[in-house]
Amino acid sequence: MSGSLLELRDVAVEYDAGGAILGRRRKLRAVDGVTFELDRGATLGIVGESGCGKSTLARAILGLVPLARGAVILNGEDLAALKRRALRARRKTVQLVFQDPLGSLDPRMTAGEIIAEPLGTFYPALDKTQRTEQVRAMMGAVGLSPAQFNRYPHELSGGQCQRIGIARALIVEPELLVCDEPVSALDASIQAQIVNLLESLQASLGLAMLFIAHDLRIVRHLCDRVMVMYLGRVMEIAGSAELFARPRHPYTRALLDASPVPDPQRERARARIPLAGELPSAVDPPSGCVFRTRCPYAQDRCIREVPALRPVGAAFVACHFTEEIFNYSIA
Amino acid sequence: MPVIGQSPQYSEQPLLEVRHLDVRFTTPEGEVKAVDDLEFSLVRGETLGVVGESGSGKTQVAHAMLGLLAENGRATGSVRFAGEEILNLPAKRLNRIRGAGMALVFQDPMTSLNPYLRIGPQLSEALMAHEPVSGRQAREAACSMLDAVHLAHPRACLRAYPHELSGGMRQRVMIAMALICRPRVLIADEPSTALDATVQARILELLSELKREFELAMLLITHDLGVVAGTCDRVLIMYGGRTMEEAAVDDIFYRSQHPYTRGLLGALPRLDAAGVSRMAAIPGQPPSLLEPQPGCPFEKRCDYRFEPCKHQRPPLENVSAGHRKACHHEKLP
Repeated sequence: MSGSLLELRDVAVEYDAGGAILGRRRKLRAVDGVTFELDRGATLGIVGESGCGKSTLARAILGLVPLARGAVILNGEDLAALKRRALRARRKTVQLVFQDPLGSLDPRMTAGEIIAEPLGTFYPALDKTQRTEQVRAMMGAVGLSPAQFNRYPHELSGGQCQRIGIARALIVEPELLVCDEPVSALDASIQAQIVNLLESLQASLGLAMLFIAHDLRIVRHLCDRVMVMYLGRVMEIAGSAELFARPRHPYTRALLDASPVPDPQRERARARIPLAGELPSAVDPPSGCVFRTRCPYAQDRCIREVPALRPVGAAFVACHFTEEIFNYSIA
Repeated sequence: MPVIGQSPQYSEQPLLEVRHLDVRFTTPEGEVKAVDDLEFSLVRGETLGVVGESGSGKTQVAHAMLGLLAENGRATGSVRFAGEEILNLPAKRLNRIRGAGMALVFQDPMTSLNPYLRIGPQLSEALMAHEPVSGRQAREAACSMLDAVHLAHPRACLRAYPHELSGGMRQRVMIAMALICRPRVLIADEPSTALDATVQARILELLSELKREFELAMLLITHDLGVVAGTCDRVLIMYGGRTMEEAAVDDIFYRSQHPYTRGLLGALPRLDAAGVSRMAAIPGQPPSLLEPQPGCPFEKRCDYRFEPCKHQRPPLENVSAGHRKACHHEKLP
């Protein structure tokens, strides 16, 4: 048994895509064959575009969707083997911060009530004074003023609502924080505030963090390691510095290319190779490598053979031809 | 042909000239001034980026120009298109300008297309509303415009419903619809914000290409300075309804003289920074338009604030040719 906090073994999640053909129900495989480990206090960014399965993966880790295959192991326990009551207790270990700061808060509860709610669930023995004390301390930790205790979400800005969401997640002292696009709905000047807050909380509390985002620039700031997904499958996993300096999968490279650089001279100088075509249907994914229909380097082998995720240099890459395409001299 | 980053010559008459534009909304909580004394101009072949965060008034500028303000909204000042005053024109006269003069690409391609109509009729309708063409001619024009925005199978696309297309394809349809009457000014309001990174890059590339091909002047409204760097000639930075700084794109990125612009640049997450450093956040919250400040709207969040900022509104002054800022500091360190 490994000592890591979270372990995913060959996880697959399927949704019913509706419409039966010849009596067989069509399945949409949203996540397929995802394996990784996350140590205590470590941060992993999960990156990819709409439909890549990153949010489904988060739901699988939280036990909110059944697995079609594989296992999610938290602190050495297989979540699927746990009984309902035990599972509920484990939920305290993993907490979630949502994308929509206002939409994920109950509009009829005050900030203080929202942050206190998980305490009522997991620590019913606490009395009101103790609860209020903990909520006030947590509000301070996320940069909310005590005056905001009795405010309703609609009276607060997007950034302040996201601070409430973070406080609500952290008040039960989780070991793992799953953040699903926590800053993408926020304005630029507020985004940086929340990213910095997450960064300092992660460090001071020793939290492990899964950070799901489509914005590579933010992932680079926050995460030790990055996993790139496309159409439900892992394309590449590598240390953050390694991945951004030496992308080893054509899709990683395309994502980096597409990210705008806030520097006019460099923007003018840089040659982009835009990704052609459209995202294939997840109900009927391409044979072999799922990325091959849009890959400028695709060959016959990519049609026939699913590339395994294999170690290449300091990264893990699912591409048959990465060595030929990306000729990085070994550092 | 204009080169990105170098503003075209100003000798010619501006295509679009905005002077003292105010936009006010009457709300139950009182009057809100969403745009406050805005001034800019746009010449042929030029792209002006209008950058601001939510509530900065950037979208209301576009809506005011095209007569699309909500019912409780009111615009005053002057907007001249090709020398003609168009602000607050009656809808009938404004319709001559909309489409063939100025066209708008909306942010959300799903909600701005009619879900019950196939793409073809939606496109030809736009053309037939403005020009005396037959249905057949309009269909042909629609098809060639879908080809111009690089949709792979234009004929099949004409028969498709919006939900059958991906987000990127829908945004291409929206751009085709905006261009079908051959406008001279294209206003794009966050045209790539709702899209994935790789799709966003292709839409921006497409807009730059079409701008050259159709000799368009473009107003690109966005919150993302990263997008501006690669697409705009000039940039106007808005905050609390006012212009904070306006300059050529290089001046904004390398020689900004306004604390807010600098703050925005510092708060940008970057892939190109050498090490991984902490992001420089701008402290505080955006201003409430319900309680306007007598001084500078950015005063409360500004690292450089001093006495006059609280009480006196900083005038928009020249820093150098084509570079203006509204800040009491003569020169920032």
